[in-house]
Amino acid sequence: MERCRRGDKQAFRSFVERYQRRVFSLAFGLLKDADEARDICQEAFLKAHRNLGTFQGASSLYTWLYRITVNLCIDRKRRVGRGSEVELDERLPHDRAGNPADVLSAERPSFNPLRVAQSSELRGRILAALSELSVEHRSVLILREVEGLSYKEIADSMDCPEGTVMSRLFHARKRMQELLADFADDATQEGA
Amino acid sequence: MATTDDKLSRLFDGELPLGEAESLRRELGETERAKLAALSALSQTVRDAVRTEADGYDLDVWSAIEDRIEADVPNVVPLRRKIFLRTTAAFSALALAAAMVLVFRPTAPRPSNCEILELEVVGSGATVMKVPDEHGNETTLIWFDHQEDDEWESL
Repeated sequence: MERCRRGDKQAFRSFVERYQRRVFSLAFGLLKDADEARDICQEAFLKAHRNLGTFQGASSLYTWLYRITVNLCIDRKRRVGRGSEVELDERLPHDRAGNPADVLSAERPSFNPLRVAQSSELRGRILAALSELSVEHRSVLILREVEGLSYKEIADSMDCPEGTVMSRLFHARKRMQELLADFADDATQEGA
Repeated sequence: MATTDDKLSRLFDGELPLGEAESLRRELGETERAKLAALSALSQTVRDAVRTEADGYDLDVWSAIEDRIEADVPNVVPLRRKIFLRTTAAFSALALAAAMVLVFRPTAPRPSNCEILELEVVGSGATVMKVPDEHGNETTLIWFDHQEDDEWESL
């Protein structure tokens, strides 16, 4: 990092090559469009390069990079204003959003991950379900499920309190379970 | 006692303290275990879908941004602007120095006490003395001796 700050081009190149796939996956998961995700990926690294001097080191490097990426994606989504996004009420405290004992589904989807990996159609339908979420809820879900970030790291990446992360994650999972409930039925019929 | 979904989510995400997580796992009922399994399936499904789909695209970000990075080096100032900035800085420094000279110009020290340039004594005799005090200052004393007229006349 210090070499990057000093303007070492090779060091920055290593940094790009190390994180490009993760940044692209995040952008792709948020935007569901490979070309847009590539643009965002490039913009994120350019922005990181321009602002290397401002990186304080308080957060980890990838958290900082994710933050840039998420902000770029949110800006783009808001600018374009497309998609049918479900806005969930984030003002509700996490433990008061309905009956906490039974809001999450106990139904396990009937498709298995191997089928998801093999079938581009199934993947497309899962990504379509993701795009039903607001970009903020989608961001939290992808940062957690795909990137494996902790609540704290997600909060740092999205510049919001951990409580908001928990609430968004909870609602995003619940909504995805609802959206994939039909999908599970379809998958069962396909398998029959 | 039913475990709230809030706690189940934190257990699933590894966000509960280790002792609490172990204790909670021992208390889980069938419904809670099913919810955990559903969370796990959802997590894996989302992860696999996004990763598999994203991995299918070629990616070479460096080639795309290398030229832009060279053209976009932070804090690089164009030459003309650099000359302008340097000239302005030099003039500003000179102006500041001139202002400092005006404000803090050296002046001759003022005497701390008066000098006796001339002393005219008519009808008296005078002795001028400088007496140092305990603080190192000097006090000037002029001692007058009155004389009778006839004494002057005799002189």
